[in-house]
Amino acid sequence: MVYADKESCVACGRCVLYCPVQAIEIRETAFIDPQKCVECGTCIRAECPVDALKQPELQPPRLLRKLFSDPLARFEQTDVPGRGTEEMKTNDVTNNFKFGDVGWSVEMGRPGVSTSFRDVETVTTALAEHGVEFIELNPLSMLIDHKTGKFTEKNPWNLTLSGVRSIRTLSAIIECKSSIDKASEIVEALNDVSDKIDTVFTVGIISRWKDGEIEVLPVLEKIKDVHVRPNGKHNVGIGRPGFN
Amino acid sequence: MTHTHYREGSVESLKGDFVFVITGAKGYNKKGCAPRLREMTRLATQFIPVNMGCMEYGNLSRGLPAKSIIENIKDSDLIQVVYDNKEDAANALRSLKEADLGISVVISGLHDEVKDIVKQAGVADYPHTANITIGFMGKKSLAASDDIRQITTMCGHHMISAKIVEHLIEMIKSDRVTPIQAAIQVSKQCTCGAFNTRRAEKIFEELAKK
Repeated sequence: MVYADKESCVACGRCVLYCPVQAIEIRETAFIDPQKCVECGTCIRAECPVDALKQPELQPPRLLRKLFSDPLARFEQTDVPGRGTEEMKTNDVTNNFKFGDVGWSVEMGRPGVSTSFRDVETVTTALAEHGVEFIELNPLSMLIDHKTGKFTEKNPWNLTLSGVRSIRTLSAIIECKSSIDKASEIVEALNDVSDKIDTVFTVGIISRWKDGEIEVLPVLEKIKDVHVRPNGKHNVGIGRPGFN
Repeated sequence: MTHTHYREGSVESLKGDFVFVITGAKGYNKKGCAPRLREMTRLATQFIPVNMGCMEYGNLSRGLPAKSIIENIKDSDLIQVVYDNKEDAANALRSLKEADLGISVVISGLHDEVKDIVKQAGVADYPHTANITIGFMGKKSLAASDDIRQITTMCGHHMISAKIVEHLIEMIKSDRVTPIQAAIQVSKQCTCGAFNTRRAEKIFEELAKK
């Protein structure tokens, strides 16, 4: 794991300020708590005045912390930088999300709290109970049984279940899809499961624009205590497949 | 994921925040798309973005020149370009539409403002697909305060700690740094270039007055 070289560290505390998960404290030199550290690389990029922070090569399961937390790490299997997929960013080309579909991006640990994978499994299991379709090529989808939402040992890193559950990351994105008529039920399921975890998660909802409106919006507006934020991201529709 | 739909703050503040993402589609038009990504980024850069870059190479906030960012774009890159006003965003989109290079563009911002931009740029009456949010759930007491999240959520991957933001607010209060210096300092942690330095300057200024 990342560590501060005791010979060179001058205990200035700069890295303490920059760590997004408060994993660093100053003892005689900088000490990085191995349980809290998510290997995001922020401290390495925080311009340590004496270059004391070192990042050795990591092996699974520790490596998974870095793959999920450091945007500069790349999952070979997805060929997408970062921890998610292209989701709706290329939907004008792929048509992965059609009229009547709703895409879900439930980002565990966001904003800025971090998450254990035990909590991730609690939420994936709750979503699976509602028959969602987990998105292929998402790094988290590669660790779970798509029918039950539970972690599986059939994963690209050959991790044991206890190995997977030992992972802690800055965030992890659960990406899945459902029909629009299940949208209320899924929001309620997320609301229920949010009381059973020791972290936070953001909820992103993908939907096509239809006749000048976002198709899922009227459904969400009917759910009690749900407030749709006024900003979001929008694929403008100028992409097309196979263009050279 | 670019996470730019999770940016928090008042509607007034978000009126000065538009993030473009330009990327090829795996299996459809990604292979060999780098020249088109470079051309689209070059066009977008003409409309004076407040930040731009891509994750693996770097961004303006980390001191890289736009020319160098553009030259180093690869097929697999996801380009981010940030504008602080609607007019520049609409003009940039019009330019990308006219170039007609077939690569997808996503704009993050207020839903109604982005809808207007798409129409003003002559693309369509409304966008193709949306990713909206209902905020966050769970143990909310673990998250940073509403004030601090206005800054931290501008880094898509949440590389900016609440502690450094709080520290810089105190530094501004004691006249040791200016709001723009604070904004530039935290923007260096945002590796992909989605951070809006101009908006952050205004937020730092407001928070330091509290």
